[in-house]
This record gives sequence, C-alpha cells and structure tokens, in this order.
Amino acid sequence: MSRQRTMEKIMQSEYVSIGELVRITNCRYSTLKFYTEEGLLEFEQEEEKLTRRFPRERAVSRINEIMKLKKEGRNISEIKNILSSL
Amino acid sequence: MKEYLLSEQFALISLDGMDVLHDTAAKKVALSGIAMADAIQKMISDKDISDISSFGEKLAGEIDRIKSMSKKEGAELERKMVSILKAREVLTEIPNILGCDMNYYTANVTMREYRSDPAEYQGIVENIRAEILEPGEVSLETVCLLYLCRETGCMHDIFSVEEQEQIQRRMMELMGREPLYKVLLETEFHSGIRNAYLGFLRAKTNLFKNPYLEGVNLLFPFLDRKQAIFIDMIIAGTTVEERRKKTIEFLRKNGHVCEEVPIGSESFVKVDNKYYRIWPSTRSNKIPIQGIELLPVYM
Repeated sequence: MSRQRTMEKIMQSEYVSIGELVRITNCRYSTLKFYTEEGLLEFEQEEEKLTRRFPRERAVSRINEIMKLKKEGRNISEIKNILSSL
Repeated sequence: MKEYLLSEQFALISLDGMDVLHDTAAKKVALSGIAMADAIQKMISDKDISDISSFGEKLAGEIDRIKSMSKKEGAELERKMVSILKAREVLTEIPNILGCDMNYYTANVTMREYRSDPAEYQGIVENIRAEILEPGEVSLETVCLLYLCRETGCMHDIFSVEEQEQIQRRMMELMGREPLYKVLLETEFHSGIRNAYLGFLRAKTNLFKNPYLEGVNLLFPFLDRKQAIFIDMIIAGTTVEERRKKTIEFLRKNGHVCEEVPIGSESFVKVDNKYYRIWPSTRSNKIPIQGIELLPVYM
C-alpha cells in the first residue's frame, strides 16, 4: 500500500509517477497521457501493469517546451517534428 | 499545486457549487463527507494502520458519530473548513448560476455558491484520475478520496460514465489485493434515502449521455450541482459563435469564470468548474421569448 508523497519529496526525487507529474505541472491527466502515447514524453516501466516512471526534470522541461510551442499555434505533428529534430 | 490534508482536498471537491446560504440536501451530504475525511485523516496518520480489525472498528465508530451529527455541528464544521480554505485563497463565494436564469435574474433573486479555485480543483481531480486510471500503484489517499466521492455522490460530477465503470473495476481489484482497502470500501456511511438519491443521479447521468434529454434537468435543478438555466437573448439571425460569445459575456458580468472548451467536434462552455452546452431555445409565456438553454454536460 503506497502513500501520497509530499510536494517537497516529489521535487527531490529523480522519477515521478504520472499523478505526481499532474500535481507538479497542473496539466490534465488526459493531456499527459496523450503526450505519452504520442511518444513526446519518455518513461520507464518494468512490466506492463506496473507504474510508469517519468524522469522528473526531463519530463517537466519537455512539457514546458510543448506548452510554449502550443501557445505559438503549432499542432501536435509540428511539435513532434520540432522536438525530434532537437 | 498546494499541499492539502485529505479533508481539505475533499472539501474543495464537494463544496464546489454548493449553496452558501441554505442548508440543502447536497450540502448535508458533503459535510458528512468532510467529517468522515477528517476522521479518516486522523486514522491513517497513525503510524500503525496494519491492524485491519482495529481500523474497521474505529471506522464503524466514526460512522455512527457522523450519522448522528447535529445541524449545529454540521454548520460549525462548514464554518471551520470554509475559513481554512478561504484563508488559503482557494475557496470563494460567487453568485449562484441559477441566479443567471431568466426567472431569477429578472426577479432580482440573490443566491450564492462556493467556488473552488479552478487550478487547485483541477489539480486534485486530475491527480485522482491519473492514479486510478493508470496501471500500477494507487495511493491510500486516492482510495480514500474515491471512497468519499462514492459515498457522497460526487463521482458523476468528476468522472464520465466510462471512467466510473473503469474505476469500479479497479476498486474491486484493489479490494482483492489490499485488506485495508477492502475494509474501507465495503463500509458505507450513506443512508437509505441518500442511496436512492445517489441511484437517481447515476441513472440521470446515464440517461443524459444523450444530449437531447439533458433539458429534463430543468425539472430537477435542486437535486444536482449542475443546473440547467435559461438566458433570454435574440436568437434569430445569430450564429453559434455569436450566441456563445454573448452567453460567456453575460455569465462573466454576473461573476462567473467562463471559458470555451472545444471537445471533439463540439465546443462546450466551462462555467466555474462545470461543463455546459449552449442550446438555442424558446420559452413560451404570453409571448414566446427567445434565448439559450445552458445545459449541463454529462460526459
């Protein structure tokens, strides 16, 4: 049985769950799930039914990049192209 | 997102859209949920919660206490929780959306409701959604929040019908895996009458998945937090976008936070923390009055 981690602990850890990523970035779960399915967010998962672990710093900076590009009016396929060329 | 206790998280979910001035049935249910959240918070803060039978006994004791909670105690709990959340600037009082309905608006009726900070509300709800719908571990706090939402009838406010089905399956799975979750989720604290009321809301949500039936909500506005209202405006010769813009302007003028949210091929209007659909309509009085129905969306 796991317990919810405090924000302080989340901000200190190397890997976070998608729920914790929601708390840090204030993004919707469906948005993050979509980015994950589109391959925009990398994660580690030991087995299919186990928790997906996201490298916190990389994931947050990637989400910020996506948000910035979205504000510039880019669509998801353009964002994918831009981010893959980096 | 800020850090919250279990009772504060649940209060932000359950008080959102509740009448400030009157003692409604929905508010009574929300307050018993907040009292329960407070009790569970204390129980899970104990270092050792591995004694399942003792946990079950304590839980049953708390339920008896909450069931016999007086009106005065409920009001005191509301005052205490509201003052905490207001001090943290995450709960405000705004005019009730029903006050924007033509009949109330023209009669100058003032009604007030609570509104949770939209960003914080979204953070709490999306965190629950992420944990329960994702594969892997589900934290004790999330299971407690889902339990409280189930018992107080908030599920249909937060989750779509499909999500509720997924959650039910997940909860069954968790009950099989973790004895503490089994004790918690098998313990009910809603009354028989409340159970019938929750059953009605569930059936209503299922029924209103068909958008043509959503107007039936006009008959039962007092049973739900989402309320269908009628706003009079000239419809003839206007486009969908013009009507949406005018509706948003009117609601903003009356103290509501509104934004347009495109979902699929349709655009909904998010008013405070609830989603609505705009439907052109006419009210038949002595002369027909054109306007729009603002209908709650049940996804």
